[in-house]
Amino acid sequence: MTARARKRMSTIRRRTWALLGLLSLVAAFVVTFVASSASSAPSSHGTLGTGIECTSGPSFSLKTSTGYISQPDGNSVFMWGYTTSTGSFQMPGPVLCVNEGQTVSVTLTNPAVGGVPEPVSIVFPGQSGVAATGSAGAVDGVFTKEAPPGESVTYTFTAEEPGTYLYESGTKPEKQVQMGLYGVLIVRPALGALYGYNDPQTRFSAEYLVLLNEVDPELHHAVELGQPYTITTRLPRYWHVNGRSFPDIIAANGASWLPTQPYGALVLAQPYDPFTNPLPILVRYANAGMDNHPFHPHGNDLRVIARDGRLLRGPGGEDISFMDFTRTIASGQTYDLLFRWDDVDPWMTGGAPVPVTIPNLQNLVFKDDMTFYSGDPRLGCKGELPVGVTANNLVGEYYLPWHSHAVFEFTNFDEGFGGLATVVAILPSETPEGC
Amino acid sequence: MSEEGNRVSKRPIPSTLTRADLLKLGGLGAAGLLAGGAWAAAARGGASSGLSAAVPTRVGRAAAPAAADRFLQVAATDGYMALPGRPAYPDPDVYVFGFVHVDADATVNELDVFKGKVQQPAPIIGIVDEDDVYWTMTNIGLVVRPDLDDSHTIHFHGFPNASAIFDGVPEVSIAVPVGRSFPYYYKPHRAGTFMYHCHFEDVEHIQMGMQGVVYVRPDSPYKWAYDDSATAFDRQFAVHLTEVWTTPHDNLEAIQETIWSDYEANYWTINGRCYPDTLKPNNDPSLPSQPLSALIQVNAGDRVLLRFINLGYESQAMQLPGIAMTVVGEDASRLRNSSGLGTVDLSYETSTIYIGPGEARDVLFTAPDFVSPGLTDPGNGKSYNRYWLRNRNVHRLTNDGYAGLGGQVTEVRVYNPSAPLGAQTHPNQTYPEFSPPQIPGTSPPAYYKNPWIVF
Amino acid sequence: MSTARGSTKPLRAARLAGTALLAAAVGALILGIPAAAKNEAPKVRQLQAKTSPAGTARLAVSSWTINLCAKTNSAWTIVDSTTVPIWGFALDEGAAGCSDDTAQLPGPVLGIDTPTITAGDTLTINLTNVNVPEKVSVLIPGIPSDELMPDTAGTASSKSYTFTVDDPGSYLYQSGVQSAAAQVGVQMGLYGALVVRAAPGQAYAQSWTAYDSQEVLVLSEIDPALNEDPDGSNCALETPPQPPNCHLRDYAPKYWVINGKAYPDTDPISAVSGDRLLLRYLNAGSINHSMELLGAHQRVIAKDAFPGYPYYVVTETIASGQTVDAITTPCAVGTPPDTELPLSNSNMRLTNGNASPGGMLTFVNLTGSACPSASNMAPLVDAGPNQTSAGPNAVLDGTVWDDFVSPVDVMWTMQSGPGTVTFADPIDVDTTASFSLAGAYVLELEADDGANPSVSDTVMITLANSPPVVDAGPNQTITFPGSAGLNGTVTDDGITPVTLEWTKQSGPGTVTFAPNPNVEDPTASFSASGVYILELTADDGVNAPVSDTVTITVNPTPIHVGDLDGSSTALPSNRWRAFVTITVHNGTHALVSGALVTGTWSLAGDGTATLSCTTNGTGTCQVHSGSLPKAGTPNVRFTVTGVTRANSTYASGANHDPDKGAQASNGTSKTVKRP
Repeated sequence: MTARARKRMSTIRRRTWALLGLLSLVAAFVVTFVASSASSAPSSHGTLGTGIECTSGPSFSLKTSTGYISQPDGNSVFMWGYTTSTGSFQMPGPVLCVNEGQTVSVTLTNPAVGGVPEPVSIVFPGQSGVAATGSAGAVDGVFTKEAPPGESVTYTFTAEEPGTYLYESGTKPEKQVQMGLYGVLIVRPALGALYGYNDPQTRFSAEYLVLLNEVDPELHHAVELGQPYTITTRLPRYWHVNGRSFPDIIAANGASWLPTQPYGALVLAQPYDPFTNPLPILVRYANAGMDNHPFHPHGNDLRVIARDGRLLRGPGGEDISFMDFTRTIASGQTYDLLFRWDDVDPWMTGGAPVPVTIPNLQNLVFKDDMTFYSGDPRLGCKGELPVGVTANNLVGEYYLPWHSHAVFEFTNFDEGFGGLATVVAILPSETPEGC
Repeated sequence: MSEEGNRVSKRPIPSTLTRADLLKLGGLGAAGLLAGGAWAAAARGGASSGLSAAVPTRVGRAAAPAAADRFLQVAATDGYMALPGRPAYPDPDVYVFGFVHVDADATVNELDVFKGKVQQPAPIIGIVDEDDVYWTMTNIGLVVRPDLDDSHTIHFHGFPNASAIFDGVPEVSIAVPVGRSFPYYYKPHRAGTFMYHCHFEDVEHIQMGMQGVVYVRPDSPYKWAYDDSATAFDRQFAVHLTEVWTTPHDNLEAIQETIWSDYEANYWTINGRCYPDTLKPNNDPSLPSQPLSALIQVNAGDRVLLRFINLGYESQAMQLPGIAMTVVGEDASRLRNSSGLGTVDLSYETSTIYIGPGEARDVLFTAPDFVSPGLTDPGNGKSYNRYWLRNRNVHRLTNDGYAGLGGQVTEVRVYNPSAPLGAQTHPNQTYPEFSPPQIPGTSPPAYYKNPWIVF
Repeated sequence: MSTARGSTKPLRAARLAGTALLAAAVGALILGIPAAAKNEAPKVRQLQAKTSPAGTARLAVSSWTINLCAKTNSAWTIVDSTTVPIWGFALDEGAAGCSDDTAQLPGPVLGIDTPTITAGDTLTINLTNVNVPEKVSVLIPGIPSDELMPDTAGTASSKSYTFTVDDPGSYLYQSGVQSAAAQVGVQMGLYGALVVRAAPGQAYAQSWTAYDSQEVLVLSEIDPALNEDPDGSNCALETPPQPPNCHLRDYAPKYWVINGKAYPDTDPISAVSGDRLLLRYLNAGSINHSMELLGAHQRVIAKDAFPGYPYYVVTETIASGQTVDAITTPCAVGTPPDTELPLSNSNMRLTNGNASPGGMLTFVNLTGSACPSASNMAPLVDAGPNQTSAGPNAVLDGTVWDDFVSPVDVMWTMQSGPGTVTFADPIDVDTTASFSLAGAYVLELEADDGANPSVSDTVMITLANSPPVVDAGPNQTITFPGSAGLNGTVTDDGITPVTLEWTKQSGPGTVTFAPNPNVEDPTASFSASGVYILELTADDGVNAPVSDTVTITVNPTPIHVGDLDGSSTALPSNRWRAFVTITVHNGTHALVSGALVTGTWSLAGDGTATLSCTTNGTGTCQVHSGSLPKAGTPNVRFTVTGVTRANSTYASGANHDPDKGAQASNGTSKTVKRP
């Protein structure tokens, strides 16, 4: 057990850092949406430090760069990435946001110094008529035109259809995309930025990105040292959401202790209410990895409304969206989903007590002597917690993980409760009276 | 373009109506105020259209049918299972954790007899929509590794809008230590096939076997998968897919660490058994800790419901050549969309059940006509036609590489209507089936309970 | 035969979207017009008008026989100079039986050229296992054969299978997995594609499954360790020795192939810009593969030969053993036009062994430059939130979005409801609807831009019958015996008739309502003075009765002394007696009878003196003093101390006396002089 205990200690330390970030987010949300019992203003979660942070187009100037990311177990991994021409290394690439109908141009420069020491490129799955024009030394690759070190390529296309799309390297993808050359492109519909698609019912109160990939440190180590790597024995050890592994993923966007991993994915939600909180949350899944990942959100099923940037509509305009509690996101796929929480039981928000007697909490286990549990089963209520247990709950909110159900991916190398996961925090709409 | 888009509207309407407006509209007096309240109530009931049909159609606060109280209990402990190519009974050597079916409201002391004698998988649990389900989980500890004072939890996988404390994730709520019971409480508002597993050190405890099927049936009638006559069935079978990677099982027994990202399953099971054990009847004496059969015995013409769940860590592609399967439910949602333009039936016919980890499928088929002469079932002497239900990922049709066909393979046996099977009285019924076996090493002999708890 | 198809096909279609879609497709076929793939959103209502027997598109039914050989091939070329041994199927074409045919990976594509198989045909496959060292069979998941589970044809033996191909689609045919020994047969290469079309240029009955060209893509992967040692005999040679199926347990593919070839040896796909290209994916491998097309979306029209609701994807997973049909309509857009569209495995299985590029990668090469014309976005309609209205009116809040490439007409109509609906302005998205009866109405807002099929959305208006609103009017105070004119008001939505009733809730006497208690403002009369609470109740027969109360205070009549007259009479022995006559008035100085007057005499005198009297019909009564001595008593005074009468009150302040001179008094005291 000592080995296991030691490893767990390192995780706890890092996890606690992450929690600080998390709590600041939740606290901000509480001030904004609970204390004031205001309804969730569309997209305003972003201002709290979570949700999607756009780099706006339609013209983008990107470059390749290399750098290191840190893993929750203290390890660091060498990566290749896209970043803005004025930016520093980040993982994943910037979230490119454009509007339907715009002519998008993405210029990719592969700096001779600080860039990737081999030809690189970008392909835009889901876009049509992507034209590539390169500098003098640009070369034609298998998938598209490529930029060797010191060269650049400009990709131009019209963003015809709204939705969620990947952009990623079209050069040795099994190597370069795994190394980190990927990102997400969001095309806003004609209806406006508060809608997922040109359908009034895709209006959302907030949006979140869940962008998946895997990391086999052997590949990254070999690439860093210029050594050979055997793809046929590939074995991922880390799994990323938005370039971070759990629990780091629930820290704020731009958390200072994750300087090269700017994007978090803590989901903040409140119970559905037809007047004060009528709009669902839009979650954008994308998988840049080589493996299909079964993603399981606790809390409530998500409604799958779109695939690969196309609303799920039948030939007669039928709504063929559907709900599930686990969605296998295949390599290269994107999904748009709607999430909402419903207060379905009388005891839920500050209502009657639950019809069971919760044992004395002294006689239960709080893992690692800390908990996000409020001490009361009801949403918005708080109860006594045992002495010595670090209580992270603010206003009786629920915390529920969203994670890969290929559970070995819900780890960091050999530590559980890590890897391919994030958390949704369900907050009460107001502090209920009944507690 | 504004967020509202281009609005085709000739003139605006008053956003709020004054009492005077209402009077003008027809002498309503104060009635308009009442209407507001009524609309709120309707909205709370989720009566809106379109994608907001994400609302559960039966909101608990709305009137629900008279709910019954249901009490059930499982005990968490360790034990051993038998796998082909590994030592079999009486000395099976694959170390497992699990949940075993015990008497409701049993105390920790009364459960001593089950210590170290767990069965695989956890029992099938069948509960009823809108009932109050009191589900106690008792942690009676590990016998082989008493030094591991691991806690356990129940995670009701897919249960919507669950309170954190009943969701079973220890990092964000609580866990149940050795020697304690915890009263999980659920009030389901939706029928369908779900699953449950321990979420404490989940990558280890799920792989070690703490997983099972839980389904919710509509309150009436009994043999419908969903509240929809199109999902009526004569017989139902849980098809619980998972894998065994023996390395961590052996490591735990040998007090060794496991690097979970090395995951590489070497056994693939249905209801805790590998082919050919999958064909043995329920409570077969040769498999006292794997009591649940995977054999699917039906009469010609029966409507058959297969409740697929996958709690392994790999996707599987199951096929039943010769019989068309219709998927009517996915992840405990009826494949039907009532939003938008009318009702859309999204159920589909398929030859392949592609099912990822943590996913569930409700699959219906109609048993084909019997074709003489068929084969003769040595167990009951009846004649049947044989169909294979098996994993199309053919490299997994092996038991750790040992000789012979193995893994996730079982048979659908369609019996001659001239000598039919009796009506099904519980899921996965086999003909014949044994009564629960003796708990090994008990004297005077104590006995397991059936590997299903259905209401 | 067409009957059989008629009986099966509509069922499949019905599960899809009603027989309508099928009928439409068949109709199109009869006319020989392949429905355009981009002909989106046919309005279901319109389609349902058409009906046509499903079978009529079918002209003839055929029975086909195909001879297949199962053979080994010691050197199948995967890519460039890389070869592996395989077991495979070959088409027995020549006269020399199987001897002159070569096993290929995958087996021959059946149904397109050899022969063209259409739904409803019967297919017989004669299998000869030439030299495959394990049992071989033909199994087609999704198509039942005359064999419940195909028996197996051992080495150098043959077997015949008959399949009735009821439904169109893409099917894998493969060696079955029924015995321990046969389980590696599929991985060794014993598989191929069977393609069944609904009609020429038509993958399935549904209109959107029409295509201009098609390509069959059989996907699989190869682990040379298994191919080179299918019986696992090498496993025992490993250290430590491994069990005989070690190649299955340790399955680790090194090559990823499309139609048996890896890039760059894969065959490119030729297509015409703007045409509909049907891609038939069949995953014969043991691993799931996701296939991605760059430059154009793919529309998945069927999985495992079931034509479900189609949907668009960039990449789709084809599970092991599964088939997926997708139609793509790429067009050469961009400057310069993009004419080489990569079609690749999005799991990035793009290597041959460790060499890149390779694997599951090919291209769709476009010729021509035709593209679908610029789109005119169909309108988007939102009929607004469902509402419960108090009735009889509801304010509708519709919204219509459009790109306004063409003008948009909007129209409100009633789809269902218990009564009739009148729209203030049916062509205004925001208007008022008036309903004739309570209940649930479904209203439809339809928008038509003239270019696309009209689009509509519905909203449900539940017309609640709201309870009446009752006001019993202001409180009143009246004076007995007067009556009160009540002033109640009842307002209601008028959806159901309302009945009224006035009742007495409390009060000392009885109340009479005139003309009756069932009107808003009757006249109420009271039998006695006092405080009365009257209640007005309104009942619309649906909601709980609603009531309101009013307080009527009935004050007693004020009475007073209206005249005091005195007189005297001499008595014997120098004595005398005084008389006082009292007249009682009410507030209007009318004479009041029956009033008891009490008072006091300044000198009582001897004998009897009366101190009270009760007024008679003329409102008067008389009291007299006792016997008084003339000596010393020139006069005597009577003072009224009280006047009492039922429902009356003594207002002494109003006492007065109209008389002047001798009979004058203050109305309360009267002095009478000695005679």
